[in-house]
Amino acid sequence: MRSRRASAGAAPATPYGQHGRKRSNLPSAPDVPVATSAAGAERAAGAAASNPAQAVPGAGRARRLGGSIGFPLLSLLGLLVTWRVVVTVFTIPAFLLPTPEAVGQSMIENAATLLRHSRATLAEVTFGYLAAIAVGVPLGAIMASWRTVERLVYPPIVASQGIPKSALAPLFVIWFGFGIQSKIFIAMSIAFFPVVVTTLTGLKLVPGDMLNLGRTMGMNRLRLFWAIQLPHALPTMFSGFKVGITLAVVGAIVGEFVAADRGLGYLLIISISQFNTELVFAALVVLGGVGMLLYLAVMLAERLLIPWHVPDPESRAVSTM
Amino acid sequence: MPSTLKPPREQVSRDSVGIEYRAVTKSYGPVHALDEVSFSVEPGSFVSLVGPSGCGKSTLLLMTAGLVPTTTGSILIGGGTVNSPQTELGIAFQDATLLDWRDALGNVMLQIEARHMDRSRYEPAARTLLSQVGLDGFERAYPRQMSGGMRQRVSLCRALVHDPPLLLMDEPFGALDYLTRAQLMLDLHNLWYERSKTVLFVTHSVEEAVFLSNRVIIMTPRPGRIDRTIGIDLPTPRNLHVRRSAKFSGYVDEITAAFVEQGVLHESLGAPDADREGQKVDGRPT
Repeated sequence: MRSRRASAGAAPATPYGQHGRKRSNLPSAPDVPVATSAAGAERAAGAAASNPAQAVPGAGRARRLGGSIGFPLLSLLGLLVTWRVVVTVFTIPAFLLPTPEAVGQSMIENAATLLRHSRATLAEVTFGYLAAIAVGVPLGAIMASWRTVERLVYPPIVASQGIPKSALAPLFVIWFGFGIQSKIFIAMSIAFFPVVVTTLTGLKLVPGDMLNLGRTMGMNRLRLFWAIQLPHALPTMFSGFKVGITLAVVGAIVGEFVAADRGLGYLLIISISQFNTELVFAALVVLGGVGMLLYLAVMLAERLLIPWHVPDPESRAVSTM
Repeated sequence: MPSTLKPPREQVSRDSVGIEYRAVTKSYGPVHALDEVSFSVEPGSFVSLVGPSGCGKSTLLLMTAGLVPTTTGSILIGGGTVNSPQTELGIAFQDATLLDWRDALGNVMLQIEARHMDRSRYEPAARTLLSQVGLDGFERAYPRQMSGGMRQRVSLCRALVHDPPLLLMDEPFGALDYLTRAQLMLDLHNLWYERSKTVLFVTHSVEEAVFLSNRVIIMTPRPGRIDRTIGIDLPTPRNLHVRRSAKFSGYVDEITAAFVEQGVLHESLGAPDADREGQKVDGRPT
């Protein structure tokens, strides 16, 4: 191109170089001919934008890490202090609201029990959630690909959400027994909905011109799906996956409430019936931890699978230049 | 690039092809989008379609690529009737349609990978194209890190990397600022001048059409028909100076006058303002 322009300049028609000199009062790139100045200016802006980000990567990362861990810790501390103050000031009896220390002590004393029950719950949630994805994603994909299937299948799926899953839980226990299967099924049936909806939505959100582009490259439907539609839909799908994991926990606990011999939900029911409020709270804390852990696992998967999407402050700074 | 390029699957010819439109119509239910459009595009020429929004120019372009079926009539590319998506072409849209998960080079190379062409053979070509449009150093930049103009440049490179005989462009500079679009206009003109491809270019910018084309086809409001065809006799390669020539403004006046006659432009015959035309942004017609 440069040589092309140079030879164009030598032609009797108006030379680029001369033209460039006439317009050389452009502030951003004074020595670049006008024909390349826009590109040059952008290049310069891009370079300038990436420099400060590269200058102190360690400091920025440390600050961000401090922020992402420090602030949640601070709010947790605030909660514990408020809790403790409320118990003392209003002299609340321990069987209604035990002190944080008492709950902590109960956690230590019952560590083995808590671990055993959380392991059971964790298994139910994980299998139920994976089943929800294994069913929800293909179903969403099929609905997104065939309009007839969508019209046929989607309305009943939406309608089924009108019935609370907790109301169906006893039925699932009758069908699948008292063991882990019924809990997996309940967890799956709750987590399934956001997964299928966001898969369908995400796949349908792909711009038509992007698919047209793929067709001019000779891609068939399958290829279009794998190479363009699915990666394009993943960010939307993961928003559903994240809602799904929290719902899967709800599903497993509801199942354990109905009929179970293990799991944190079962432990809750038992310790409430024994008025062991310390253990109730201990189980709730552990349950919160399990839920958070699972959520973090999904977030990690999101980061690994769609690194181009997870916005980090540095790249945002460049793109807004 | 070596002159013995022979892609394994697609027989992409380096020679440009002609297009022929034979009484092409398009209806969407009761709505007549296009009405008996007939014209031809000579091999190696640059033809622009201008017209008011909704006149079916974008539809015509999509039909040329075989992405939208014609209702009646036929389109022939290089003598062959279009009745399925055409692959021996490059296409660019108003939106850059880059894949967010691929960097600039990866987006250009998608064209090669999708066609199962030899990566190692075409990667140098992709890099050359990117540097020709001023993106050297940005091969590894992701779309979110690029400006709208940069993304559109990548899209232009992607349309060209496999060296197609035909280039279809649907308002590719429509969403860009004035300076960026002037730059891209020059880049496209130079690329076309070097490679002698057949280009069908849809735009609503009269100035852009005159600057780039051998021939400008003016379309009427819906149902779209060909109002008139104007041959642009300006020296090539063109540079920014040409826009200040009397001949250039003569063409712009002529096209603007056609729109006034159509009744789609009022009260502005005395001042066919190219800049205002350039800034006019509206949605793409269906």
